[in-house]
Amino acid sequence: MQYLSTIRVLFTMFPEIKTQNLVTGRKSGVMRQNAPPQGRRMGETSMAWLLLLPFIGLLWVPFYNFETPTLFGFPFFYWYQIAWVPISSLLTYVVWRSKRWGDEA
Amino acid sequence: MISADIDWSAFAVFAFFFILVSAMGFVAARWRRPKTLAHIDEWGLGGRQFGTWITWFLVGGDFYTAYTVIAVPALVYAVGAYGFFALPYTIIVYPIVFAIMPRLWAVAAKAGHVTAADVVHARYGSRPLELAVALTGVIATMPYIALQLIGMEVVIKALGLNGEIPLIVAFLILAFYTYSAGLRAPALIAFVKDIMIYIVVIVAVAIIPLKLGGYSAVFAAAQAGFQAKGSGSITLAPAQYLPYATLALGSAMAAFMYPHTLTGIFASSSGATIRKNAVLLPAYTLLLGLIALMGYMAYAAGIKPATANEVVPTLFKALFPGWFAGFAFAAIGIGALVPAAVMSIGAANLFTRNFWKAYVNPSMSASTEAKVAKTASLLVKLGALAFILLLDNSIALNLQLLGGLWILQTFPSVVFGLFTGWFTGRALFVGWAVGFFGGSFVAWTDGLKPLHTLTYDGAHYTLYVGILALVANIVVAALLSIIPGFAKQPLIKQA
Repeated sequence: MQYLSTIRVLFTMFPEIKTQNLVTGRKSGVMRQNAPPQGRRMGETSMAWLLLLPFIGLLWVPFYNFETPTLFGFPFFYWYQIAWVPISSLLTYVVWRSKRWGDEA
Repeated sequence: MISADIDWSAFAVFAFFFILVSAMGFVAARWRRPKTLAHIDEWGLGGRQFGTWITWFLVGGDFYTAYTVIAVPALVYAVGAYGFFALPYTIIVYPIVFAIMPRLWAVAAKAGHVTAADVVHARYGSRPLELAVALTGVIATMPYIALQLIGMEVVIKALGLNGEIPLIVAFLILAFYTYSAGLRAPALIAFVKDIMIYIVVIVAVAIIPLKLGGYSAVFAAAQAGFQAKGSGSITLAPAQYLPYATLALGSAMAAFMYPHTLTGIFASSSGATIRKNAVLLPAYTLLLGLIALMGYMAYAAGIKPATANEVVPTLFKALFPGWFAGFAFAAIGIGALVPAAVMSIGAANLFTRNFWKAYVNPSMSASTEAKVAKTASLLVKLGALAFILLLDNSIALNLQLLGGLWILQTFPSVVFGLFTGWFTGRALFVGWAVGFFGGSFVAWTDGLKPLHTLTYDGAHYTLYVGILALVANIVVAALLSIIPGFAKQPLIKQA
């Protein structure tokens, strides 16, 4: 069972990702327990609309159905869509950090 | 069983990793050991305690299946840019997960629901709707498990092993450790599988273009190949825009309605775990985009695979030493085990909670539930195995295609109730029936093609038939919800 406990150790090495709250500048984790519960928004407006951008950017095909400009040998069609992977992830991250979600203790 | 051209170094590496993960599967029952495994929450959901990293590996290992690694490059090899719809699909799926799944998780965790059909039943108090969601989940999953077997068959064949015995042996081992350890087995194995896949893909996308003269040479060779063939292209034809976008959207909405992906959601420890994963899981999408390009690398490497499904194995055998090819095949083979295990667990949970408990033994205890689910998971896997051994592979493929359409029709029933009280159970049931049967009928009359062409005012619009069926489904459900007779059935307030 030795390697099982090794895996357990790996988890304790990488616990929850601790990051700055973009809006409040607070660290997540311990501080969050003192924060007001129940979905109170820290910013004035919800950032949830940002989640619509990947749909617009990717589902409207005429935006990107081109071979040029190429990047690292990739035609535009390919690198444009691949670029949306980190962009979409970043947008999701911003939305997540932009407000306190009622279901997250 | 063993042909003359077996590559022993590849085989040895493959066998080593396969035995390693099999051992892990059996000891997984003791991992994060619960007081008892004889409870459906423990066996079927791993105790609802998987944090960010375990969920990342589990959902990643379960959503990006072995079949994906085989089929996406195969499609890109065959048709070009059109096959790339898997990329927008697996990007927009995460905003959807972010918006919906933490709520679904919270409802399920609070009330102890194990399946989507449990949630639906609690929300609308409708047994028919619960059964519709559960049945759709099971029949959409069966061909999906069968496809994992096809993926495994492809790499076993590439190793030089012929016949069906290796496949049967691999699957029986899988069936036994899933039976004993439940969701803990694929969760633990997913670590090995995903790390192996990452290594394989990073090495492949770095080294293969070096050998072939860079990515511009790869794309140029692919374009030349399509021109020589007279079909396919590295960009889309205007007529493909709508099919490309609707396939991506429909697939993304369907993706987390499947029992195996939902099992990963229900098994996680909190809504925050799910939101973090919506941010972190796209790392696998990056991988998928690179895997898809192997379809083009095949042109640059000048290989001539016998079937499109053999593109990836043939490419690895042509460009890498035997031991690394064996490592890659092991990654794909193990990549079939993880989703197959989770799929059978998800289907077994549905059978237990929404059929056995609902109609056969309503008063059964949690430990009886676990027992029923374990047996059901064995039967589901044997069914999928029989499917592959007895029927033509194209049947599994067609059914899986229909499976996407089917599971998409459960979206309104599962999701809408989390956000609004507008829809009634009966209306959603009729909407489901219209989408399910209407969509299947349209796909059937089109020769089991996923696309359907509408003509309006002389113009032709070709769309993914699943989206058409979903629109009909939603329109019917919304209209019937305001008809008094249909609204009679009271909504059950969410706990």
